[in-house]
Amino acid sequence: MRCAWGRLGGLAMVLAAAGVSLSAAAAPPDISGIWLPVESLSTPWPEPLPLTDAARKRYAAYDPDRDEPASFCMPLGTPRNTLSGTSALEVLQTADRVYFVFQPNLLNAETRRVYLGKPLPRADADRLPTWLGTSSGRWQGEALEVETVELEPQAILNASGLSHSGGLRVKEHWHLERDAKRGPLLVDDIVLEDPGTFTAPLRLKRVFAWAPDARLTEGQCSERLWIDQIWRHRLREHAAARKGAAR
Amino acid sequence: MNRPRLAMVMLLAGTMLAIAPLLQAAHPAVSREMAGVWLPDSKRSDRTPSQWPLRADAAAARDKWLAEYGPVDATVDDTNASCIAEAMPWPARLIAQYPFEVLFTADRVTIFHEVFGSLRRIPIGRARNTFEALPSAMGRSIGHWEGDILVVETDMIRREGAGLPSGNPPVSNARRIVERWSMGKDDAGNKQLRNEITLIDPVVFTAPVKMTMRYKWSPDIAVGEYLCQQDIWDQNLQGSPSTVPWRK
Repeated sequence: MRCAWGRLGGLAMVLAAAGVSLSAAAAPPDISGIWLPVESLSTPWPEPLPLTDAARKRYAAYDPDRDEPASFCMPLGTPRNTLSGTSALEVLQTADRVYFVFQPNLLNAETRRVYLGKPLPRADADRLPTWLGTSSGRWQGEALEVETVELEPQAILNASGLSHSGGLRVKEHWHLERDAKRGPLLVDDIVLEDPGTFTAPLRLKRVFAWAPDARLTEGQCSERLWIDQIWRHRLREHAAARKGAAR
Repeated sequence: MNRPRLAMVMLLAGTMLAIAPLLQAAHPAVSREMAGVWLPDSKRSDRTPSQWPLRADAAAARDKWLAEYGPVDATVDDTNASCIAEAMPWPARLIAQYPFEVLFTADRVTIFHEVFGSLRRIPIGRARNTFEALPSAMGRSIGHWEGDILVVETDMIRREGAGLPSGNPPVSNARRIVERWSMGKDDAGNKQLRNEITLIDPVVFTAPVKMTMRYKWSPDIAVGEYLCQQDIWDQNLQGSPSTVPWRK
């Protein structure tokens, strides 16, 4: 978002005075820029979750030591990257695509590529799922509608270990709002549809506040594991030295 | 032209002038050719100089390091093998299998590398980002256009993920990279992206080191997910300890 509010507002007033309407061919809103999650404005996960029996069993069997991908520097994946409420978001926007970039402190930048007007692959297409999924979007007035499929079921949905069946479909409605205290807000109304997990579509809202001075930085997750290895190596060396001295 | 029509034309012209900066990036037309997905063309590139012009004290430091820690075993010692992202300029001079995407937005170019999911943010014609005060793998970049050539200068490159453990020359904190990106055609007449890379490190080299990269336009290829830790994750899910040495 490039401080265009005042400029566009003035322009609209000039055009309105001349009897010209921009609405017919209005450019989509500019949602580009860096945004920080606002937990207090977002909706929590519902309690209880509307889970199928199969999903309830998966949820109960979740073992954070074994099943948390982030502990192994794997991606958060979609939609957890958007839902987590911990990662800054950078939006890059052109005429035919919108990229949502997250850089949690893991291995990679997670770039959700949303191609505008490009149809999603057919449901029976034999394609491998990915951690970020396949997305398609379109502008509907002032809102960006995004649909994402082909999501990797190893990617959990939240830190409590809620998983999906592989048939997850994420529908999002991104739009701008304005908050008197925080300024521009980027709001994502999210619907998770997965008959193998939820007995009804699950609705969530995530809110991000404009943060032009914030920066996304490279993850250090592997470095942490690397340092951990060096530390353990040192411990082994010290232990061996102590045993040698005791002999 | 009657007066009301002239007024309307002037109003529309003024309107276009007012909103033009909002509608288009301040990049020359060649940026539209540069945008998209590219694959390194290793056959047409000159990725590594025949000899690194090491200063005498840098060569002595390298020899001392190799005497103490060498020979380098890339399966254990190379930080990249342990999923530590490669530092610049190595992502820009990789061999064929890893694509990258160039995306132009207003006063910026972003390069998305598949390898390690690394991402370069290059502001064009703006001040350097003072927040990026710590060295990083991609460093701190700033760009400007010289006609149809995009010139990118990068500093604040971290030393991990490059250098001797990876079989490369030593790296100092003074390392700086100048890239000159331009468009051309290869000998078969295909669209080609060119990058003349100059590596400047006065602590290590007696003279700037030049490398030439050529990239093939690859519109049918997508920049994929790079899951370096996949092996470790899979072994974990299968209930077995990692076979990667540094995870034991």
